[in-house]
Formats: sequence, C-alpha cells, structure tokens
Amino acid sequence: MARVDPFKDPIKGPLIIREDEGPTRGSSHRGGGRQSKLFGFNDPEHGITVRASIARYTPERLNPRHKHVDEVVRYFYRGGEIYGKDVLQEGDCIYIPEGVSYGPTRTADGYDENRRIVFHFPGPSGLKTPVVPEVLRAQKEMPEKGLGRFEKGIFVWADGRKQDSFEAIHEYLTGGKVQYPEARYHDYVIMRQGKFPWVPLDDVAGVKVRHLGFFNERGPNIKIVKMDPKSETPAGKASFLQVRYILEGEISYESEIYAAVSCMLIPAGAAHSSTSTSTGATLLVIQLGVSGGKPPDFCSI
Amino acid sequence: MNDVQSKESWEKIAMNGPLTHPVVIRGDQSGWDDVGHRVTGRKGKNFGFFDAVHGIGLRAAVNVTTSERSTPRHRHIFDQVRFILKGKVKYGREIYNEGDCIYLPEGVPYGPEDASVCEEKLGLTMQFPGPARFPKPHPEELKRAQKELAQIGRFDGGVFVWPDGRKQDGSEAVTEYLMGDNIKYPPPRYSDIVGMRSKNHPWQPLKGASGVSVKHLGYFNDVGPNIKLVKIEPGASTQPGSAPCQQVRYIIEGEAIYEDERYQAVSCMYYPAHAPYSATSSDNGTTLLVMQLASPELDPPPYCLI
Repeated sequence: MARVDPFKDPIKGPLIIREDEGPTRGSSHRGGGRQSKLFGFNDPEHGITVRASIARYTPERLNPRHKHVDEVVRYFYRGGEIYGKDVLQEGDCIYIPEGVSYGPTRTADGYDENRRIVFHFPGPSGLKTPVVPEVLRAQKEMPEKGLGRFEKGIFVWADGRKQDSFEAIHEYLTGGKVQYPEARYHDYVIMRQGKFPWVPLDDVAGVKVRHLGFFNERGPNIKIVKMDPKSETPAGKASFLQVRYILEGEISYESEIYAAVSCMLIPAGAAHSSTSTSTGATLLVIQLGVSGGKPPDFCSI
Repeated sequence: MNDVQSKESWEKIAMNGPLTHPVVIRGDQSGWDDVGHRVTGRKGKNFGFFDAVHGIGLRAAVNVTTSERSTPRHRHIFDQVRFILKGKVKYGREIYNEGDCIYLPEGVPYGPEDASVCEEKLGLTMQFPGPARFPKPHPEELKRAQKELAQIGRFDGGVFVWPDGRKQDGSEAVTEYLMGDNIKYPPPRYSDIVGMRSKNHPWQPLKGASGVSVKHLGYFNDVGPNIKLVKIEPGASTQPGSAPCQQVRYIIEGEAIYEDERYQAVSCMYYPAHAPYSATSSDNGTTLLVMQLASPELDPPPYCLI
C-alpha cells in the first residue's frame, strides 16, 4: 500500500494506519490526563473529515457535561469510564448523536486508566467541527490573547464566565455562537456488545457479526466482526465510507500484516481488497453514508 | 384482501391465526378494554397478532392513558416499541412528547412511568419477542392470569401485593404466574431505553416510489426492530412485494387504501414474513409507523424495504 499522510494527502483508496504510526496528542483544552494516537483522516476535497484515534485517559482527566455539532462512536478497549449515571466498561460501545448532551465523564473507580477507541464524524446535519490543528491553535491563542484560561475542561473567560472548553474554542474559531443541531435522539446509546450474539456472515465462512445498531438514514451502522483463523472477508466496493478498527489479533491486507490496534479507512466508492487473517481477528466496523451517496446496507462487510 | 373474509373473521385471524397473509384491522374494530394489571388510567384496544402454529406472537395496541396512571420501574423479558400520538409521558427523568418513539429492549428497566404530566395521552404499543425469543403471551392468557391472581392477592397501583404483604411489579407477577417459575431476565444489550425524536428526523425520498418518503429512526439488533415512519403523499402508492421479515404498519395519520378498502388512523396492518402484499395508496395522504422484525426463522429485515 502506498504511503499516504492521512491528514495532508489526498485519500483516494483504502488506508491502514498502525497505532504506532499516528501522531501523538497529549494534554488538551480539557487539561491533562489524556494521551491519544491519531489515525486520521482528513481530506475535505474528497469529502473525508473524520477523526479516528485511540486515547488513554487517567483519573486526572475530567470532562464537563457538553455536546457536539458532530457525532461520536466510542469503543471501550480497556478499563472503564463514568458517563453521568452510566459506567462504560471493556467491550462497551457508545453512540453519541449530534446535539445530545453527555457527561460529565471521568475514569471509573477502580481503574488507573481507560483506553478508548474514538471515531468523530459529521452527523446527519453535516455541520463542521474544528479539526485538530485548528483546536491546537485556538488552545494556544486564547490564553495568549488574555481572553481567559483553560481549567478542568472548561474555559474561564476574563470576565469570570465559564464555558465548556471545546464550545469556547469552536466559538473563538468561528466568531459566532455554536448552533447545535436539533437532537434526533433523547440520549446517547450504549451497546453492551458482549451481550450480543455472533451471527454468521452470509456466504463468508468463518466470519461472524454482532449487529449493534444502525442509526439515521445514513448511519452510523455499527458492527463487531469476528474472523476465525484462516478466514477472509471479500474484496469489494461500497458507496459508503467505512472505518475498520482491528481490536484483537491481526489481519493481512495486500500482503501486509496489521496488528491490534490499527485502523483502516475505506473511502466511499473506493475498491478494497480482501482482508484475511491467519490467527484470527476482531474488528469494530463503522459504516457511514456520504453526501449524495447511498446509505450502508444492513450488513455488507 | 387475500382470502376474502368478514371483518370479524379478520380480527379473529389477527388474534388466533392462521396468519398466512396480510391482515388489516381497523381501529374501531377490535373493541376497547380497561387494561390490566396496572388497574387504573388506561384504556386500550389490541389489534393482535398471534398464531402459535406459525410462530407469530406480538401484541400491537393503541392506548389512551389518563393522568392517574402510574407504573413502577420495571422491565420485561420481551422488547417493546412505543409511539406517542398525542400528549406526553415521563419515564424516570425524561419527558417524551408527541411524535417521540421509544425502543424498550428486553431486560432493560424503565420508569417509573408518570402520566400526570398531561391529562390524556394517546399512544401505540408493540410488544414482541426480543432477541432472547421469550414468547409473548396471548392477551387472553394474561387476562386469565390476572383474574386468577386477583383471587390470591391484589393489584394496587401497578404492583401486585401477595397475601404475605410482599410487593412485586404487576407485570412480573403475571408473567411468573403464567410461566410457573421465577423470571430470568435476558442480559440487556443496551444500557437504557432509546428515545427517538421523530420530528427531528428528515423525510428521505423512498427509491422506486414517487411521492413516498421515509424517516429512518433506528435499526436495533440482528433481528430488529427496524423502525421507520413512512409518508404517502396524496395520490401516491407504495410498491407491492414480499419481505423476508414480519411487518407491522400502523396508519397513524390520514387514510390508507389497501386492496380497495379504506382504513383511517389508527388502523393496523400485519404482513407475515415472505407473504406477498399489495400496494398501499392514499387519496388524501397518510403517515404510517412501520416496524419490521425478523421472521420466525430469524431472517433479518433489510435496511429499507417498504
């Protein structure tokens, strides 16, 4: 596979980024207690403005209750995290729709850290959210200009007013109030994926699927895929965008081996090769319809 | 309609089978009952649909709930979908309004239900076997259990009080009485009920059916429910066809025409899996709530087949 920078280069075909290949991001506008590896992927010219990452959070990190103009799917890879009344633990998956408030969040009691896989993407309203370089710039400029200070996940303006730090950054960058989309769902949706059964994938021996949920007219369509040793998913071409995180085991794609945790992006309309495994693998698959394209099928892997 | 029969017999078929072809039950056909083990504040009518021979057992109903109604926090061994046509209701801390749709997965506690937030709520309920496939008891069985239990203890404000004073959720007591054993709830796949604000979902044109549009509210599990709203503009029509899944279609607004018969809101259609069905049209426009479930053989619903 040709080397492509998932943040700067055109993304015209499938890309797989290993955990140790992505840039690292440390403390943020919400303070310390986070270390994340960014997989990608940003190519607005080809309609790709998503953020895939894996992050490690410690109890130092506290996120206030807040909401986004985009959507998020998170998968709890190790440890646990508290979301208001709920505790998410290893294997749990959460869909946070655009405009839905959530949190406050913190690492769950009894854990030194939690590791989560994160996928941010434009929601059905298509509203843009600031990308990482913009966020980093605002994070630097806002205190430098004497506008206020970042403190435990919030921004304290010079006049003492407090605001969710990401919302403050968003407004700093756009120069206006954030217009949140009307929430389509009352709350986020937590899927305890370990409680879902494995369903054989039609016509593909040794591959099984857990169907967690399919939301809206274009997704996310969220699935866990288990590949037995020596199994293979077919090559193909789909009209929707897909990310496939390798959660456990390793896969082989175009003669290269990718171990957990790696992240594969398949742009809408791009042909992809088959994925095989000699020792077995488990994938988190998120499928998303794109503007002007067809929605994902219920189950096409 | 296939196998032309009297309206009365359609209703009998809907409640007892054989459900081998589509049936449509008018809202005024099936009679209203004071409903059940929660004692006060609800009147409802059951549309069906039960056919033990063909492995079909789901309850589709329309209910009017008054402000006196209260239900304790509880859970079920089956799945439910509810849709609020008029009024509102509070489950726990959350208020659900007109146009809201709620998926209540098996094993997930919900409530307490507080109906005092409005004088009267008109809502739809569908109860059906969830992914764990616990069968949904026939309404007549539930009535019998309720009657017999009332001779043992008493139903009081949504709970059943046993002669020794022990209190139990009314629905749980009825279910255990019928099962003759303690309920073993399926482990919840979702952490909570899922509320869908259908008014905030956009209408999407349905491919291949001019004048028909869809709101895709959510598709859960490998067996559904796949929940959609379908709007048929005046003079438009859905396609005839057959689907690998079971379908319940509530006519929630306007009037639908099916095989030359006119059905007003609220009426309810049931299409068995794999059974051919005719087109649905409307002269003046209509809106349907469509819920699709896996066939008794567990063939899943396609993403969007209307």
